[in-house]
Amino acid sequence: MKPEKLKDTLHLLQMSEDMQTRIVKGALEDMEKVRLLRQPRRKHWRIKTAAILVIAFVSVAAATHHQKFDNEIILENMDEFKQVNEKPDRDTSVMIGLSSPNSPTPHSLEEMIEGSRFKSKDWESERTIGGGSLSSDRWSRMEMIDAEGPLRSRKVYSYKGAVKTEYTAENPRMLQEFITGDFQLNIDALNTMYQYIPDGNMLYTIKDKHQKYRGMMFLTMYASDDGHSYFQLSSHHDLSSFNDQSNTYVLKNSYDVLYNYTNPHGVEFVIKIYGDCVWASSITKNSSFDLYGGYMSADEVEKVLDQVTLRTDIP
Amino acid sequence: MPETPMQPIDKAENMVHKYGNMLFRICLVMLGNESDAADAVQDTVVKYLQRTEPFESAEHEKAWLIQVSSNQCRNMKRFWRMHPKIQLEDLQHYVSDPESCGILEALMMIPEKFRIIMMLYYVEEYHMDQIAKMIGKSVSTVKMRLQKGRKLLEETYRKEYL
Repeated sequence: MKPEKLKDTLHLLQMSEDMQTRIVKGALEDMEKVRLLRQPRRKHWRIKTAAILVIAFVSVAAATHHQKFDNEIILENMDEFKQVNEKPDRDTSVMIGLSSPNSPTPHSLEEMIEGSRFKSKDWESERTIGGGSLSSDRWSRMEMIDAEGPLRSRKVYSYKGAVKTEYTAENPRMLQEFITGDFQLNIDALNTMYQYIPDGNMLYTIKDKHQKYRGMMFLTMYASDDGHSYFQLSSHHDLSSFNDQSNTYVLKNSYDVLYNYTNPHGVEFVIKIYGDCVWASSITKNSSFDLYGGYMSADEVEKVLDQVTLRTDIP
Repeated sequence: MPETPMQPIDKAENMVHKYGNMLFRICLVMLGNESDAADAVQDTVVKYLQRTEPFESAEHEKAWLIQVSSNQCRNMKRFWRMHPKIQLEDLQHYVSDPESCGILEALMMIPEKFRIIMMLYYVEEYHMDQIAKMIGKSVSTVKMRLQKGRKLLEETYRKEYL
């Protein structure tokens, strides 16, 4: 294949004028929201600012992190990031990343539910069979196992012989037995604290062409009783690749609230709040646990994260 | 007389007009999903509007935008793993001939670390030392990934589509 052909082909990927207009409009709206948020704090903030506002740690991965976790590292400012980048003994073959927030405005709960591919009405459609690890392979056909019961399931096959078994259930408790990886979740406790979203729960496991287990993804969604705040939890286990966020840094002043949190079971998280969006994540070598939510306080985030434990037999 | 500062809307429109398609290509290749790519470009525009430090040159501005959009894509990937890989019918929005369609599909099947380097080298025509600086890797790593990426792309294309 001639490079010119690749170049010509990729040059065909162009945005429509509509998309360009939407992007400009969306960017200007986001800028305005950021400008309003930077004004003096109003009482709609649900964070206890005296106790929690911008607690940050200058940390070095080996010194303060448990060996099991490979979370992002919080730095005070750009000068510290430059020092890390310019260390004479730094391995220059490893890229250093700096993460920052996108928009301060959460997606609406309706958008989150709409964005979840495993909705009841799409369960039997082959258009929804994409997604998952083993990215060099392509999912090609589906075999429905159960489209009616409280625990729906189907198998998806790839060209190369990999098999993805997918499940969805209104109550995430029905998916608990299939969760693998380093993180476990007390779904019974979450079900008493929040309302689960019936269309927001799914799980898949992947086996390669040799029928060897390769990974799992679990997603669940909850909302507060009044429907104002919500969060999505995802637990991911992937034996085909390694996570390593220990070369990803985040600056103290790039979020409104940013800190390391260790729950009562010893699981370490990085919690971030920007505008009305919240994120929390914990990463090990082959697993990650993430929370994304809207309109939650840091206290509420911690109470959810307190339901996460580690498998006791992790090396 | 000092120059009147450009209004944000003009600044955003100029930037999208000049660099929008380049950034969209990069984000689409990294994320494999049209709506995520548009979100990533939008977030890059926001960062561009927030930047107060002037660029040293047009080349500096372009390289900065590529780095920011790549970082945005990496930030998004962890939270949006469930978006499906781009399907053949999505690609047909952009290309009509079977050969181009096959090339794009084959490109999406090779690992992302090769895709981005091939984009920057063949499409945006950066030199290897420029790419190395941009992505924080050594020149030899870039060279190796370029060779391997091209080989993988040709093998995948031949195997799947010829």
